[in-house]
Amino acid sequence: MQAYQDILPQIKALGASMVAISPQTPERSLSMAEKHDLGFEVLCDAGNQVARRYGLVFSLAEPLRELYSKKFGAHLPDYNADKSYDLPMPGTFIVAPDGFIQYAFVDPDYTLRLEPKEILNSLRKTAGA
Amino acid sequence: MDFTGTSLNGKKFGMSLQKALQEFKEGVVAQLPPEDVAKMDEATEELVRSGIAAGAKKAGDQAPDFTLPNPSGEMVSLSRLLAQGPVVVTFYRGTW
Repeated sequence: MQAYQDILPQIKALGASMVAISPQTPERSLSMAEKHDLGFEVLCDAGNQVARRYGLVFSLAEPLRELYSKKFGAHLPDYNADKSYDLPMPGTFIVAPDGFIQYAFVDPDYTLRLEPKEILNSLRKTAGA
Repeated sequence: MDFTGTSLNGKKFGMSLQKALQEFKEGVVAQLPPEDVAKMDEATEELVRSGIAAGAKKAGDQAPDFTLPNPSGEMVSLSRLLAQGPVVVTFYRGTW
Protein backbone atom coordinates (compact mmCIF):
# COMPACT_ATOMS: atom_id res chain seq x y z
CA MET A 1 0.00 0.00 0.00
CA GLN A 2 2.88 2.28 0.80
CA ALA A 3 4.25 1.79 -2.72
CA TYR A 4 0.93 2.90 -4.22
CA GLN A 5 0.76 5.79 -1.81
CA ASP A 6 4.11 6.96 -3.16
CA ILE A 7 2.76 7.30 -6.71
CA LEU A 8 -0.56 8.85 -5.67
CA PRO A 9 0.52 12.39 -6.59
CA GLN A 10 1.37 11.15 -10.09
CA ILE A 11 -1.92 9.24 -10.33
CA LYS A 12 -3.78 12.42 -9.42
CA ALA A 13 -1.68 14.51 -11.80
CA LEU A 14 -2.92 12.21 -14.58
CA GLY A 15 -6.50 13.05 -13.62
CA ALA A 16 -7.16 9.67 -12.02
CA SER A 17 -8.10 8.55 -8.54
CA MET A 18 -7.46 5.43 -6.50
CA VAL A 19 -9.37 3.28 -4.03
CA ALA A 20 -8.29 0.23 -2.05
CA ILE A 21 -10.84 -2.43 -1.16
CA SER A 22 -10.55 -5.04 1.58
CA PRO A 23 -12.89 -7.39 3.45
CA GLN A 24 -11.64 -6.10 6.78
CA THR A 25 -13.80 -4.37 9.32
CA PRO A 26 -13.82 -0.54 9.05
CA GLU A 27 -11.78 -0.37 12.29
CA ARG A 28 -9.00 -2.45 10.77
CA SER A 29 -9.07 -0.44 7.56
CA LEU A 30 -8.91 2.79 9.49
CA SER A 31 -5.88 1.61 11.43
CA MET A 32 -4.18 0.77 8.15
CA ALA A 33 -5.04 4.13 6.61
CA GLU A 34 -3.56 5.83 9.66
CA LYS A 35 -0.53 3.56 9.86
CA HIS A 36 0.50 4.34 6.31
CA ASP A 37 -0.99 7.83 6.25
CA LEU A 38 -2.81 6.85 3.09
CA GLY A 39 -4.10 9.57 0.80
CA PHE A 40 -6.62 7.31 -0.90
CA GLU A 41 -9.85 5.77 0.30
CA VAL A 42 -9.77 2.34 1.92
CA LEU A 43 -13.21 0.84 1.44
CA CYS A 44 -14.83 -1.90 3.48
CA ASP A 45 -16.10 -4.76 1.34
CA ALA A 46 -17.95 -6.77 3.99
CA GLY A 47 -18.30 -10.37 2.92
CA ASN A 48 -16.07 -9.76 -0.13
CA GLN A 49 -19.19 -9.00 -2.13
CA VAL A 50 -17.46 -6.69 -4.58
CA ALA A 51 -14.29 -8.80 -4.75
CA ARG A 52 -16.52 -11.76 -5.64
CA ARG A 53 -18.02 -9.85 -8.57
CA TYR A 54 -14.48 -9.23 -9.78
CA GLY A 55 -13.80 -12.99 -9.52
CA LEU A 56 -11.15 -12.72 -6.82
CA VAL A 57 -12.47 -14.59 -3.80
CA PHE A 58 -11.18 -17.84 -2.37
CA SER A 59 -11.37 -19.48 1.03
CA LEU A 60 -8.12 -19.78 2.93
CA ALA A 61 -6.86 -23.39 2.77
CA GLU A 62 -7.62 -25.39 5.91
CA PRO A 63 -3.97 -26.03 6.88
CA LEU A 64 -3.23 -22.31 6.81
CA ARG A 65 -6.05 -21.16 9.07
CA GLU A 66 -4.35 -22.20 12.28
CA LEU A 67 -0.95 -21.19 10.93
CA TYR A 68 -2.12 -17.64 10.23
CA SER A 69 -3.72 -17.37 13.67
CA LYS A 70 -0.73 -18.68 15.56
CA LYS A 71 2.20 -17.34 13.57
CA PHE A 72 0.83 -14.08 12.21
CA GLY A 73 -1.71 -13.31 14.93
CA ALA A 74 -4.26 -13.17 12.13
CA HIS A 75 -7.35 -15.08 13.13
CA LEU A 76 -9.24 -14.11 9.99
CA PRO A 77 -12.77 -14.25 11.40
CA ASP A 78 -11.69 -11.45 13.75
CA TYR A 79 -10.43 -9.31 10.90
CA ASN A 80 -13.06 -10.00 8.30
CA ALA A 81 -16.31 -8.15 8.62
CA ASP A 82 -18.21 -11.34 7.79
CA LYS A 83 -16.25 -13.59 10.22
CA SER A 84 -15.20 -15.88 7.37
CA TYR A 85 -11.91 -17.27 6.10
CA ASP A 86 -12.55 -15.83 2.65
CA LEU A 87 -9.89 -13.65 1.07
CA PRO A 88 -9.56 -11.75 -2.19
CA MET A 89 -6.65 -12.53 -4.48
CA PRO A 90 -4.58 -9.41 -4.84
CA GLY A 91 -5.85 -7.63 -7.89
CA THR A 92 -5.46 -4.18 -9.39
CA PHE A 93 -7.74 -2.83 -12.09
CA ILE A 94 -7.50 0.40 -14.01
CA VAL A 95 -10.98 1.44 -15.00
CA ALA A 96 -11.42 3.93 -17.85
CA PRO A 97 -14.05 6.68 -17.52
CA ASP A 98 -16.38 4.67 -19.81
CA GLY A 99 -16.54 1.96 -17.12
CA PHE A 100 -14.49 -0.62 -18.99
CA ILE A 101 -11.38 -2.21 -17.51
CA GLN A 102 -8.37 -0.95 -19.34
CA TYR A 103 -5.73 -2.89 -17.43
CA ALA A 104 -6.09 -5.85 -15.10
CA PHE A 105 -3.50 -7.49 -12.90
CA VAL A 106 -4.57 -10.55 -10.92
CA ASP A 107 -2.37 -13.29 -9.54
CA PRO A 108 -3.19 -16.06 -7.07
CA ASP A 109 0.36 -15.81 -5.72
CA TYR A 110 -0.13 -13.28 -2.93
CA THR A 111 3.51 -12.23 -3.13
CA LEU A 112 3.07 -10.77 -6.62
CA ARG A 113 1.75 -7.26 -7.17
CA LEU A 114 1.43 -4.86 -10.02
CA GLU A 115 4.43 -2.57 -10.13
CA PRO A 116 3.43 1.04 -9.45
CA LYS A 117 5.15 2.21 -12.63
CA GLU A 118 2.90 -0.09 -14.69
CA ILE A 119 -0.11 1.75 -13.27
CA LEU A 120 1.34 5.07 -14.36
CA ASN A 121 2.24 3.75 -17.82
CA SER A 122 -1.31 2.57 -18.35
CA LEU A 123 -2.83 5.82 -17.10
CA ARG A 124 -0.56 7.82 -19.39
CA LYS A 125 -1.92 5.87 -22.35
CA THR A 126 -5.47 6.84 -21.40
CA ALA A 127 -4.48 10.43 -20.89
CA GLY A 128 -2.83 10.30 -24.31
CA ALA A 129 0.32 11.74 -22.77
CA MET B 1 1.81 -8.79 9.94
CA ASP B 2 4.80 -7.35 11.70
CA PHE B 3 8.13 -9.09 11.54
CA THR B 4 11.19 -7.54 13.05
CA GLY B 5 13.53 -6.35 10.38
CA THR B 6 11.18 -7.13 7.52
CA SER B 7 9.05 -4.02 7.48
CA LEU B 8 7.61 -3.09 4.11
CA ASN B 9 7.51 0.54 5.12
CA GLY B 10 10.03 3.22 4.64
CA LYS B 11 13.02 3.49 2.43
CA LYS B 12 12.86 0.00 0.97
CA PHE B 13 10.66 1.37 -1.78
CA GLY B 14 13.62 2.81 -3.58
CA MET B 15 13.72 -0.68 -5.08
CA SER B 16 10.92 -2.13 -7.16
CA LEU B 17 7.82 -3.23 -5.30
CA GLN B 18 8.33 -6.80 -6.45
CA LYS B 19 11.87 -6.86 -5.12
CA ALA B 20 10.77 -5.39 -1.80
CA LEU B 21 8.02 -8.01 -1.53
CA GLN B 22 10.46 -10.77 -2.39
CA GLU B 23 12.79 -9.64 0.37
CA PHE B 24 9.87 -9.33 2.74
CA LYS B 25 8.80 -12.87 1.91
CA GLU B 26 12.30 -14.21 2.43
CA GLY B 27 12.43 -12.44 5.80
CA VAL B 28 9.11 -14.01 6.82
CA VAL B 29 10.12 -17.45 5.56
CA ALA B 30 13.38 -17.30 7.50
CA GLN B 31 11.38 -17.03 10.73
CA LEU B 32 9.02 -19.91 10.03
CA PRO B 33 9.65 -23.65 10.40
CA PRO B 34 10.06 -25.41 7.02
CA GLU B 35 6.79 -27.34 7.43
CA ASP B 36 4.87 -24.06 7.67
CA VAL B 37 6.61 -22.70 4.59
CA ALA B 38 5.70 -25.91 2.76
CA LYS B 39 2.06 -25.48 3.78
CA MET B 40 2.00 -21.92 2.47
CA ASP B 41 3.70 -22.82 -0.81
CA GLU B 42 1.38 -25.78 -1.29
CA ALA B 43 -1.70 -23.60 -0.73
CA THR B 44 -0.47 -21.02 -3.23
CA GLU B 45 0.27 -23.71 -5.82
CA GLU B 46 -3.15 -25.21 -5.26
CA LEU B 47 -4.76 -21.82 -5.85
CA VAL B 48 -2.78 -21.40 -9.07
CA ARG B 49 -3.80 -24.90 -10.21
CA SER B 50 -7.46 -24.21 -9.41
CA GLY B 51 -7.52 -21.78 -12.32
CA ILE B 52 -9.23 -19.15 -10.17
CA ALA B 53 -7.35 -16.35 -11.92
CA ALA B 54 -9.04 -17.22 -15.24
CA GLY B 55 -12.40 -16.31 -13.72
CA ALA B 56 -11.30 -12.83 -12.69
CA LYS B 57 -12.26 -9.70 -14.59
CA LYS B 58 -9.94 -8.86 -17.46
CA ALA B 59 -9.00 -5.91 -19.60
CA GLY B 60 -11.91 -5.17 -21.91
CA ASP B 61 -14.56 -6.33 -19.42
CA GLN B 62 -17.08 -3.91 -17.97
CA ALA B 63 -16.00 -3.07 -14.41
CA PRO B 64 -18.76 -4.06 -11.96
CA ASP B 65 -19.94 -0.89 -10.27
CA PHE B 66 -19.86 -0.75 -6.49
CA THR B 67 -20.82 1.49 -3.61
CA LEU B 68 -18.89 0.82 -0.40
CA PRO B 69 -18.35 2.66 2.88
CA ASN B 70 -15.05 4.21 3.84
CA PRO B 71 -14.01 3.91 7.50
CA SER B 72 -15.99 7.07 8.32
CA GLY B 73 -19.12 5.44 6.95
CA GLU B 74 -19.36 7.65 3.85
CA MET B 75 -20.43 5.79 0.74
CA VAL B 76 -18.04 5.83 -2.21
CA SER B 77 -19.15 4.61 -5.61
CA LEU B 78 -17.08 3.67 -8.62
CA SER B 79 -19.44 5.33 -11.06
CA ARG B 80 -19.19 8.62 -9.22
CA LEU B 81 -15.39 8.46 -9.20
CA LEU B 82 -15.36 7.59 -12.91
CA ALA B 83 -17.19 10.83 -13.63
CA GLN B 84 -13.95 12.57 -12.59
CA GLY B 85 -11.55 10.36 -14.59
CA PRO B 86 -9.91 6.91 -14.60
CA VAL B 87 -9.91 4.97 -11.33
CA VAL B 88 -7.29 2.58 -9.99
CA VAL B 89 -9.09 -0.10 -7.97
CA THR B 90 -6.88 -2.32 -5.87
CA PHE B 91 -8.01 -5.28 -3.76
CA TYR B 92 -5.97 -6.42 -0.78
CA ARG B 93 -6.46 -9.02 1.89
CA GLY B 94 -5.63 -7.19 5.08
CA THR B 95 -3.22 -5.38 7.31
CA TRP B 96 -1.82 -8.44 9.04
